Amino acid sequence: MVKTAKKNKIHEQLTPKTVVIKIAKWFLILFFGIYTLFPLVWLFVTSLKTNAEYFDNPFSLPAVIQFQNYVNAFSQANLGRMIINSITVSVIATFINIMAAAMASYAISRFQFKGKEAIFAMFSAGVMVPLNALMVPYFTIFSRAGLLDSLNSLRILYAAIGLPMSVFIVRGFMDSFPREIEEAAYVDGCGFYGRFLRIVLPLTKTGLVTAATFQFLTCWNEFVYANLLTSSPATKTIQIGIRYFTNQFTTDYVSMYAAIVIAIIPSIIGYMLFQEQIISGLTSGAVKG
Amino acid sequence: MNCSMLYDFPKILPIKLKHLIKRKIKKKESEKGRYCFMKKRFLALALTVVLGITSLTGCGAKEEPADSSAKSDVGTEEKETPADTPAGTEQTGSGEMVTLNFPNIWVGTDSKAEVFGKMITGFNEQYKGQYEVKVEEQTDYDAYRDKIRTLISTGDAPDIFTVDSMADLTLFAESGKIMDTTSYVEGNLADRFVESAIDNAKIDGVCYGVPYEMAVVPFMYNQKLLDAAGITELPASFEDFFDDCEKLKASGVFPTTQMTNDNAWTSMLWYSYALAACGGVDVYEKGLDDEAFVKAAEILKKMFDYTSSDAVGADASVVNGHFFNERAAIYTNGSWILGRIKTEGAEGLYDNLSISPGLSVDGKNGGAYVNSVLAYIVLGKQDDPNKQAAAEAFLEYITDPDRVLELSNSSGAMFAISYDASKITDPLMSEIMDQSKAAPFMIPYFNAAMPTAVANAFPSALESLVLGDVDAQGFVDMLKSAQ
Repeated sequence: MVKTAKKNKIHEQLTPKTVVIKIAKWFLILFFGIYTLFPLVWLFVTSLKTNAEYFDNPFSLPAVIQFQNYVNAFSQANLGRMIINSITVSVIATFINIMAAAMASYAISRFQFKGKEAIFAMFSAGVMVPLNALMVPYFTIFSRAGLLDSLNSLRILYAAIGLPMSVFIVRGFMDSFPREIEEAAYVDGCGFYGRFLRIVLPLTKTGLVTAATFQFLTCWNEFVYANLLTSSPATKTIQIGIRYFTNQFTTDYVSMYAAIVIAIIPSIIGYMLFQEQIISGLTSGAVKG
Repeated sequence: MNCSMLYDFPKILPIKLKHLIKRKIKKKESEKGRYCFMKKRFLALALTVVLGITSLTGCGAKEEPADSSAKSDVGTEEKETPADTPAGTEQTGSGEMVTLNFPNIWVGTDSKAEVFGKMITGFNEQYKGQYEVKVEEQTDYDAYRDKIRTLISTGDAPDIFTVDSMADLTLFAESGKIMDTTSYVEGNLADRFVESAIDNAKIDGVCYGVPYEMAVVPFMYNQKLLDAAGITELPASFEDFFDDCEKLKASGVFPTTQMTNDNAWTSMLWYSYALAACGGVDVYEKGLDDEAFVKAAEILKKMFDYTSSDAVGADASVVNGHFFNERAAIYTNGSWILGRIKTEGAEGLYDNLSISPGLSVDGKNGGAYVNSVLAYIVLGKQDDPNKQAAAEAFLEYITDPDRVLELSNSSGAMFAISYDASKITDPLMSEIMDQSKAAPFMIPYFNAAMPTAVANAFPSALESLVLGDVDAQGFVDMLKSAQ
């Protein structure tokens, strides 16, 4: 029996059709792998070159590896402090955003009340508002609140501007979450807060992690408001640090690329820690909407 | 029990009440433990929330630098100023110290950063206990522009800042939120500025921005590549220029470098020189309806026949890459690029550079120089006379000719301040200065002379022109429609 199965397997592998399919499959995998990884590899290689080498041939390998670019990135731009600022801003803003989005989505998804869809449309419409158009009102608000040049202004702002996207994502997951589970919890005596905190939140974790991923990336990559609302070195974030190597007419490209490589490391670590939830969240979100 | 009522707000409350009453009536020993457990959970949750709020409030206190390395040595803010400090004044032992905030673009890797930083440190030391300039480092110029516009709109104009275009300066002057500096620059500082610099900076007879850094833009030729192509003399007219381009193309190099990405900076400079040749000294005053703008567009389009294939979509790094590595022979940019050519260009490139002024068309308007104010120092409007005095002292300090000479020598930049040109150490810079002084006329570069909207429309109009979507007239029409 075992021999027959093995023979069948070998026979299957050797069929011209399966060979062609396998070649095509691996070609596609390799193509998309290179397509995705090449910019990152290029970025890393370029960050180890001199500016002269970069201008001479952007795709050449460095003659001598320039670790100095990384030293420059850390010492000149004070990246260490900026990374810590970006981490605290992104984590706190993401936490606030996801909690608020989960509560809003739960109410919109589960309860019947007048204007429910209008409120959801209002949340979703926020995605379409260009953030740069809101610089003056946001600046005025934070100025009046005495929060200028404070990381809290960024935490509050980022938590707010990410709400439309988070509510949109989390509501989709809440809609697809079976009501029967909640009803069962209710029958067992679970109250409103208990149902939300102990049933709904843990079971929609995938959706929350998906929304949190987008929110974290938004916070991590945001530059315009970080530059507008902060001014002292103590409150600068990593995106400002990356731009430390550009100025009005010239750019120190290789040091900037070194700073970018440093800046994407926390995102990669975050992805590695949560990749299971992120992938399942993205794929299930694609089906359930 | 009807579970469909679970999510119904009006109906859920009676059910909950009923449930609670039931639970109270049936309160027994076995349930008591569970109740205590819930109570503990609630207490834990409440404490977590309190802790979260407390930590957030704690963060609300301004973040202090982790250590002294968080500040730079150029007068960067060491600790944060309260956001709403109205006059930026602090009590010191010796009296009231005036603090001026300065979002500064000459920081980081900017060629002026080191010496300008020293100037600020020097000012702070000279006026220690009396005045202090606190620098806010600004490196991304577009973001800096947005920030300044927002600050002006909200009435929070910085005490000192720089503006790079007359269009923005006019806008800010109209807002009434910047200081009239006419009395300073026409008073004891009058003899410090180059001739006509102040007059050109005035808006309705009032000087709102003190002209400081100048963009002096020469043509730069790689003499080695010209020699190899058999070109013995630099062109004086666009007709000669295109003949030389043919020779250079035949020798296997890109004759010129062009770009359409970002603000299409170097191509915009080429267009400015074409405008000078076609329209003369008053070309901008004639407006976009003048024929010169169409003729200049034809010249610019022709230049794209003599450039690299990656010109459409190219940014400054591509353009610089071609010229710095001797793949392209002719280039134009401000004199500040000389320092980078020295350090990042191919070996010997800097020594092979030849410099020339603008070209003529039909034998007219040759020898012009594109020369424009690149940075006006602007002061936010002050009600406090102490702050006005501090700002005046700062202006006086940074326009000192010896200090500006040091700044010029260190950075390759040029300034609207009169200083002894014979003390310029770089021979090419010295040559550029001599040529610009001898030029029959000067015009500003296109972006500086036009409203911001037209300058912003330039790259896309240029791309349409080069790709053949519009002709020269269509290109000008695109610019006009942006006005």
